[in-house]
Amino acid sequence: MDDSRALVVLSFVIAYLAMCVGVGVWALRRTTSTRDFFMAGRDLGILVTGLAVFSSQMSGFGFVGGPGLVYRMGLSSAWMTVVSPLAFCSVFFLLAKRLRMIAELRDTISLPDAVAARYGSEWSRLLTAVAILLGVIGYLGTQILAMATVLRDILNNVSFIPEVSIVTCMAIACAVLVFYCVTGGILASVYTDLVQGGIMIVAAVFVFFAAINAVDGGLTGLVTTLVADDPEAISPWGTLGMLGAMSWFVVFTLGGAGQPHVITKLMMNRRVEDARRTLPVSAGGYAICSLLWLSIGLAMRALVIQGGHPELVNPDEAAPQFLQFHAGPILAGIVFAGLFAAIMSTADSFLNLGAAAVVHDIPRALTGRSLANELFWARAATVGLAVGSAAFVLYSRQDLVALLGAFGWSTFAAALVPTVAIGFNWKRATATAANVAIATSLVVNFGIELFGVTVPYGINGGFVALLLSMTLFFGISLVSPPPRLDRDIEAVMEL
Amino acid sequence: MNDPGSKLPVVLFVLLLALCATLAVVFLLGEIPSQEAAGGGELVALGHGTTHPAFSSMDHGGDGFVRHGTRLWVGWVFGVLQLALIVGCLALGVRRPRAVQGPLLASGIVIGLMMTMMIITYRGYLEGATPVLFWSLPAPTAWFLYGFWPAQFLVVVLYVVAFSRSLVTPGDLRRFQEILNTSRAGGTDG
Repeated sequence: MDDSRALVVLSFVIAYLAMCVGVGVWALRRTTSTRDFFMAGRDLGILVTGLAVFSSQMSGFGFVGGPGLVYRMGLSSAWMTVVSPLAFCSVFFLLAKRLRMIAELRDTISLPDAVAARYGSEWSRLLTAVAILLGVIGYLGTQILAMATVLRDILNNVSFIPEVSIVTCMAIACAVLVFYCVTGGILASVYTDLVQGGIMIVAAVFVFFAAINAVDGGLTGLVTTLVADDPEAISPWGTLGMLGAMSWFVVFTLGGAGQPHVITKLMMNRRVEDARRTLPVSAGGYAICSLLWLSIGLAMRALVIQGGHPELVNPDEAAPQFLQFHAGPILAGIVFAGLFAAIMSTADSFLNLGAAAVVHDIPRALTGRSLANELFWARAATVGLAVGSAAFVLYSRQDLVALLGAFGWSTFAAALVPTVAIGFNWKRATATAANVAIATSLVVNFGIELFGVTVPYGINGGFVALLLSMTLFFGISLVSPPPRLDRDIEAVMEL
Repeated sequence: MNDPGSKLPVVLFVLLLALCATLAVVFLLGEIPSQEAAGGGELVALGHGTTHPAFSSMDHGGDGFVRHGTRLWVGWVFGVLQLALIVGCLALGVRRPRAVQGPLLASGIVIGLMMTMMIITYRGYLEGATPVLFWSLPAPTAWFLYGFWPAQFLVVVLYVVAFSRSLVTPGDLRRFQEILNTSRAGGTDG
């Protein structure tokens, strides 16, 4: 990449990061309590909530890992993104009303708070918080790694900047992220999400056309190249095959209703009835961004096969390499800012969730009360989590961003779909069933990952964990006597 | 379908058991091995692809007919059961199902038909030498991206249309306000 091009890209990224810092300063003045810090004062409008919901979901996993997976496996990973309309429907049909109402009724400031209110169980609160914390550390580390990888690519392409290490890039990325999260809490997070969501939509549309035009013969040429090389890659299941790809179907649809960084946004909107217009904003925005996920991956695979681009060392380089070598400098600048947007919009949500688990949920579950001076400790925990997650990913096994992301997604899905998405809609669900479902999901998910268990046909380990946790949840609840619910909770569940 | 006498949770439980059984069948069937995929050198499990023979950073699907030809029915059952579970769970979130269950079921059937067409045309794709492209995509992929994907927006439209009538009615909002007022006044509600 020549210097002028590199400088254009760098300018866009610096402008974007400066905007994030500015939002942090602005939000600092509006954040005066833990309720503001974790729940944005429960005052978000339709557009802000809608874009925050989808941009939290389209993370570095989608913008960096997604194209990488398509490059590597063809259309297999389309089963993660093409199913997103049903995923958002799961979130809204199952949670937009009751989760929001219970949040307001009990003035909850976190998802485990709402779970404790629903089941009347401190064990349920504790297990939910632990599941969130475990998922957050891995998932957040992945986001920070993705952000540092992209930043290093950008900085190392500017000739007058000395070679920058991945650790330095992680430090820069963490500093900006932590600054606006610590100062402005979730308020800064959702307002940057608004800008980030807008950037991501614009970037995805332009990149889609750039990707199609980068390959000789346009879309037809791209498809013909892929069919000639490997017909399976451009089939609906990709190289992973039918059963493996389809195992992502339920994990990424129903699993959407178990993603804490997504569903907690529904506890923050101003009015319950806003959900009606929030769903189309979220589902539409995500569908447009899916174009980037699919088009860059397919274009890079076709370009490498055609000899129009050298083979990638790591599939995660698909998006950065495409932007550096096959997109105009302004488009590359916008999309690199979009990449940062996608990563940071998810990372900030995770910082917020993790901080709530550490300073609010776990102490409450164990001692019956929150920490004194909770707002101060929430800010301190935000810093600690960012540094801890960066260290975790730096010194742990490195894998593709998307595969780590898929693991994080599955962890949340298997643990929280039964407890939250189903349990908030079924009065018969018991606390014991919820606790068993969460514990089982964590044991199975982490067991498969830690012991390297290979499931036949490439079936996703998270699918197995989700299937088991849901089956146990329904089975135990059906054979147990109906639980006694608090009368206000029962009244809300009857609405 | 959240009524005390509702049978929906039982139906969902049965669907989950059916999915567990399907998974057990998948495990028992085992992956089809092939020598072709590895250049004839060794037997490899072909179910989830192999490393690309020319580019090590890519995977290769191998011979689709060998790995999927006798497994298409399992894939269809696997996909349809998941879809039924998803639609059933969506219905669990609807308190007044009568107005919504028909359109929700119809949307599920449309999405299921798209999935079925993907599998039917995929069989032809496996057998054909040169696939016919439909709007630049092979037929099964066209059903996937031009049919299955947009068909899901039927459910989004249903949510918007049925929202005030069946999902969050003005009566729900009034009743919630009463519950909230009672709760804040220090009482309980029922």
